[in-house]
Amino acid sequence: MSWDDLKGLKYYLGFAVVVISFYIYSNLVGWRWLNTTKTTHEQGASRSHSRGYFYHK
Amino acid sequence: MSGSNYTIACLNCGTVNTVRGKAMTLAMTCASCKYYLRLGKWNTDRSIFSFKAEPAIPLGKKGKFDGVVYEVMGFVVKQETKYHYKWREYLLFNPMQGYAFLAEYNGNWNFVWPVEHGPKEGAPEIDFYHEDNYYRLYQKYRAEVVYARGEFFFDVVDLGESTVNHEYIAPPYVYTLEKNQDSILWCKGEYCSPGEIAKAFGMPVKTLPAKEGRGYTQPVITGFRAGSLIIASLAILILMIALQFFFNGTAKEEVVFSGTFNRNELKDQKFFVSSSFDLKGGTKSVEVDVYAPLVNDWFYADFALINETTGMEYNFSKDIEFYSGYEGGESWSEGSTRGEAFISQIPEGRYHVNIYPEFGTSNESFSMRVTRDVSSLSNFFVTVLVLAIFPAVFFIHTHIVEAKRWEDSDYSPYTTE
Repeated sequence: MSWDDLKGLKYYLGFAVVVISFYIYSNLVGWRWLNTTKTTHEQGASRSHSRGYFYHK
Repeated sequence: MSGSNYTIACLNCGTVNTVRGKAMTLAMTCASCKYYLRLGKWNTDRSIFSFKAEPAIPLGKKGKFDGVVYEVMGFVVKQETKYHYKWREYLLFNPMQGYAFLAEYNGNWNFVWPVEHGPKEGAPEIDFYHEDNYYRLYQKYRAEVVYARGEFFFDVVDLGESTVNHEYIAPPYVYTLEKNQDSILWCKGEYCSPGEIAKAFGMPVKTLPAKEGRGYTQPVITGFRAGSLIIASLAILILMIALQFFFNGTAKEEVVFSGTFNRNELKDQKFFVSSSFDLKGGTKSVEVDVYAPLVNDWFYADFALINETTGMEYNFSKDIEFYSGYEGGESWSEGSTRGEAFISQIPEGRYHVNIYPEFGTSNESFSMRVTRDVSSLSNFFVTVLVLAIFPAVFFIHTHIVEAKRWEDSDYSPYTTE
């Protein structure tokens, strides 16, 4: 592969760098893109409410 | 012939023609009556050409290719003897570099120059490798000159009629072989866009013949070779595999909670609450595995993973069912007694899980295990797939274009006959 080829592929290689960087970031923060588990986020009840029904196993 | 060494008076019309190529010129046409003549003897057998054509690049015009200035010495129109299509060739000359050609067909150009040593001995029948390129035979033909104007360093008319021409292409390059009983001449060529030709001669591109279709040596894409894209793609794939091995190897997969819950311990409560556990190491994934000893039964639960510091809840549900039996002499089963839920991007902190279970008919218990920092393969496959789109589209496009390119050839590798 020559330098001219690298220059010709610069857009693809640049795209690859962006995609791979995103992949690395996602793996570092535990982000699975295609997740079959549907998760909702909400600012929930207070800690004391939960503790009221605390069941230790 | 009459006159000095560098002028010739035409016997047809008497016009005195200056010979720009001096002693190198072996044939030329009269500037006035267009009569074709060979130096040293008159061409008494041939009358003036019946076909008429005008060169798009004027004779005497100078153009620069790879830093070398060439002058247009001659112009010929050739016709293939079998299919009778015509193309145009310009003879170029530089005192230091010698001669070269510009060949034009349907507005597609090739800059062609003779090479001292051919890529192969004799005339390869089909194809050959040379200088990292795979050359395929594109056409083999005889041609006749139907029009000539200017000066030539060989008898362009007789030479054209006595030779068999082979053209081997590896776009943007072409090797041409002109072979007759006495000699073999190899030339190498490279595709030039109309813009490059116009720039070389300093003339407007609109004065050149309009480009029609794709030139037979026109590369599918300029800027890189297909082999380089393959190498780059393989390098990226290897990098991706190495990265995935790295993430698999460094994922802690730490079990932060594991417990079993019995239905009878629920009493009048509606949900279980796990003991608290710490998630460490920054933002990471969490996987919750659920197992229920089901026998033709189901189990469903809503889960709330709760950050005890911020109160943020991550809600999800899991439904598992398992059925089995014996029917028609065969045992069968469907479903599973296990299920898993994957929760992305959970910040570190102290957490517990609220579980809101719904039991089936006979099952009385279930187990739950919470694992921190679990590796995932799906991102790897998605990334590889995304990165493969461009090479895939490129090679599909290349295949279509190449098949189209070879439609005009008798030696197409894309026909299955």
